[in-house]
This record gives sequence, C-alpha cells and structure tokens, in this order.
Amino acid sequence: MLDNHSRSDTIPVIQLETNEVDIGHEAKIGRISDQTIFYLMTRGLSEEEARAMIVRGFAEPIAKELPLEYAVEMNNLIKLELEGTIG
Amino acid sequence: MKGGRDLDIQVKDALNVLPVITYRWLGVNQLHLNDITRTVKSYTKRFILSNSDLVKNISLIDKSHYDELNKENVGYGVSGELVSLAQEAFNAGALVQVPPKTTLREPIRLLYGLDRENDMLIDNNLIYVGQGSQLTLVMDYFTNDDAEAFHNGSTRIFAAADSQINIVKIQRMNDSSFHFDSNYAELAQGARLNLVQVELGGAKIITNYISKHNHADSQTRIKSIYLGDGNRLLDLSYHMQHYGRDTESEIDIRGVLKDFSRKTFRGTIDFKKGSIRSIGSEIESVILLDKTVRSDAIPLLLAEEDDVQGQHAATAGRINPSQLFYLMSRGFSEKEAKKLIVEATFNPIIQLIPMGDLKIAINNEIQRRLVNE
Repeated sequence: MLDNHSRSDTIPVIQLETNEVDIGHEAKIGRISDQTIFYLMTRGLSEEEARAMIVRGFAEPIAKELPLEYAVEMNNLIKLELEGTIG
Repeated sequence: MKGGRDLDIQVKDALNVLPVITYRWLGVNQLHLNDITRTVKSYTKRFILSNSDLVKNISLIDKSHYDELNKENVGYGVSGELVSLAQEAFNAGALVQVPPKTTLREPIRLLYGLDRENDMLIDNNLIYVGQGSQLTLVMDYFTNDDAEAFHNGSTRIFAAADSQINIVKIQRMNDSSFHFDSNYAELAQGARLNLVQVELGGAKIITNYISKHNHADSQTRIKSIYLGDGNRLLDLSYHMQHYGRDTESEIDIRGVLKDFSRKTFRGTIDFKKGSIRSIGSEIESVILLDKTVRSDAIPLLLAEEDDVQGQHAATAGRINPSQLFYLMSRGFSEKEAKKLIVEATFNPIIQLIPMGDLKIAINNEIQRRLVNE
C-alpha cells in the first residue's frame, strides 16, 4: 500500500469436497519499507523513482510473462501512475 | 436460571456472519441452522473449581450489580439472539475480578459438565483483569453420558493496561451435543491475551472470537486445534480488530477432518484507520483423512491503514503417503500411524495447557476418535 487513503480487502474462499488435493493459499499486505526507499535514494534516485522501481520489481514476475510491447506499456503505466504522488 | 422463567429457544438468526460479505452463490457468508429448538432449564452442578475469592457464581450476584456490569453492550458473538440469551437467561457462569497488580499462581478452573439431568448449559462469564495483573483461566465443557446436551455460552474479557490473560477452552462433548460459544475481548495498552482452544467433540460446533485492540501495544495470540469426525459440523470464526498503534494478533489453527465432517474457518484480520505499525497473521492448516469430508476456509485481510503488516495462509491436504509408509514399515497400523502424525500436529498446542490431567484427557480423546472409534 503506497498511501493511507487506500483501502484493501482480501476475501479468498477455499472450498474442498475431497481429500485428493493439496491446496495452499497465501496473501500479504504491507507498505514499502522506508529502509528500501532510503537505500535507493542513496544511490541517486528520487523518492518517486525509487517507489516506481520497487513497484515495477513487485510486478516483474507477471510483466515478464507478457509480450514485450505490453510489458513496456505496463512499466510506463506504473511510472505515470506514480508520477506526482510524492509531496 | 436468572428470573426463574421458562424460555423457549429457537435458533433462527444467521450465525457467524462474515464482517465483509462475498458472493452469495458461494454460500459462505453465514451459517443457517433452523432445526434447533429447546426450552431453557436450570443447571445445578457445581462448576467453579477454585478456592480464590476472586471468582464468583454470576447467578448469585446482585441483579443491580450485574446490570451495571452488563450495561456496556457491544456487538459480538455467534449471533445477536444467542448472545442475548446468554446475557439474559443464563443458568451458570463466573464473574472473575482480579484487582490491579495481582498474580494468580494457580489457574482458575471452570468445569462445565453436562449429563441427562443437566443437559442444558447457558453460561455467561465476565472476566476483568486489573492493571499489571496475571490470570490463567481454564474452561472445560464435557458430557458424562450420551445426553443430547445444549451449550450456549458468552465470555467477555476486559484486560486493563499491561495485564496478561491466558484462557484455555476445551470442548469434549459427545457426538449428539450442540456447542455455541461467543467470546469477546477488549484489550487496553500493553495487555496480552493468549487463548488456547481445543474442539474435539459435539454434533454442531459454532464458535466466535472477537478481540478488540483499542490501545497501543496490545496483543492477542490464538492457538486452536479441532477434530472433525462422524457427521460433525464445525464453524469457527475469529475476528482480530486493530485500532491502536503497534498492536499484534496471531491466529494459528490446526485441524483434522475425517468421515463426513464439515468445517468452515472464518478468520479476519482487520486493520482500522490509525492502527499504525500493527502486525497480524493467520494460518489455518487442515489434514483431510477421508474423501467424504468438506473443508471451507475464508481468511480475510482488511486494511484501512498502509503502515501495517498483514499476512494469511491456508493449507489443506492429505497426509504425505511416504510419511505414512515409513511409519507403517516400523510396525504401526495405518490408524496408529495417522494418529501419530495428527499428534505431531496437535502437540505444540496441547503442550500449552497448564494441567497434566487435561493433556492426558485430550490425548485419550484423540486416541479414541482416531484409533479405537
């Protein structure tokens, strides 16, 4: 979660009617750690760029499955969405 | 029974309704049981096993005193009607009031035994623990014969600042009994609540735990084991509400299902606005021993605050066949091997129970249900 105006509700439902399965589910919620942002900023990135980089890294496992032009488009969209969100 | 009047009970309302509703067609938003009707009877057994004068039979306290204690009414429990029944028509229950800076060395035990003569228990328990105090309370619900017992209970816990409360709730009723259990805890700054729940018997088991972390640094840890066999229905609900800063909650549920048992787990971690730096986690793991069982899990994670850490995990599956094969190659029968694996899952939680006799009783019950049948 990138700001404290957002709200997140996760409602997974697992229904099993047999034992011939092995099911696992996991979900996490949290914010980007200040230490990670700080580290990237010491490397010369602005806070905005640092956040965009972390979000891109978070989405990367999905983005790399996409055709190249869509992956580039997605990264641009993340950058655009995060522009102007700081300060 | 308070007031001495006869009351007919019919369970009509939806039970264990989710805090956030999902698609109706999934059929998991709530539980409906429409076939339960009873008349309230008195309960005459002695149930307080403690010499401490800090615990009293709630039926014997002054009505005006009870009304004063009961005035702060909050929404909690299995359903509104069952909580009202427990608060207004109770036939047993304990009032525990621990003054500030008091440590009770011996656990307080409440033995709620049911049989053909006392087949209805409606217990209303109120627990107040003063600032910096420590209390361990063990509540044991069991049947002595094959009576179709009915239990509906409410337990409210109010933990003052820096207090520590350990609650152990054990249910080992027979296979034709009903168990409705509503629990609510309110924690002040720095208060700690540790709850151990053991559900081994009963026909229909509906439990609900709400823990409200109003103030900073308060903490709830719930460790629970359940066993589903025969036609048992289990519906277990937990709701951790985080309001204060730096609050923590943990739900760790482990279960085993066999025969035609059905189980629904509803676990919610709810980070309200202002619960900065709070942490919540919930884990449910279930071992499925038969094809005919049914297991539903709805682990909810709700966040209105960004600076929080929440996680949930749910796993379900069979016993690993190679584990089973290894144990059977050492001379154990299949049933015994399964029991060993179940014990290994349950034991870390059973070890948290402070009484040796209860640990033995629980292990015997697991043995009976898994091996002897």
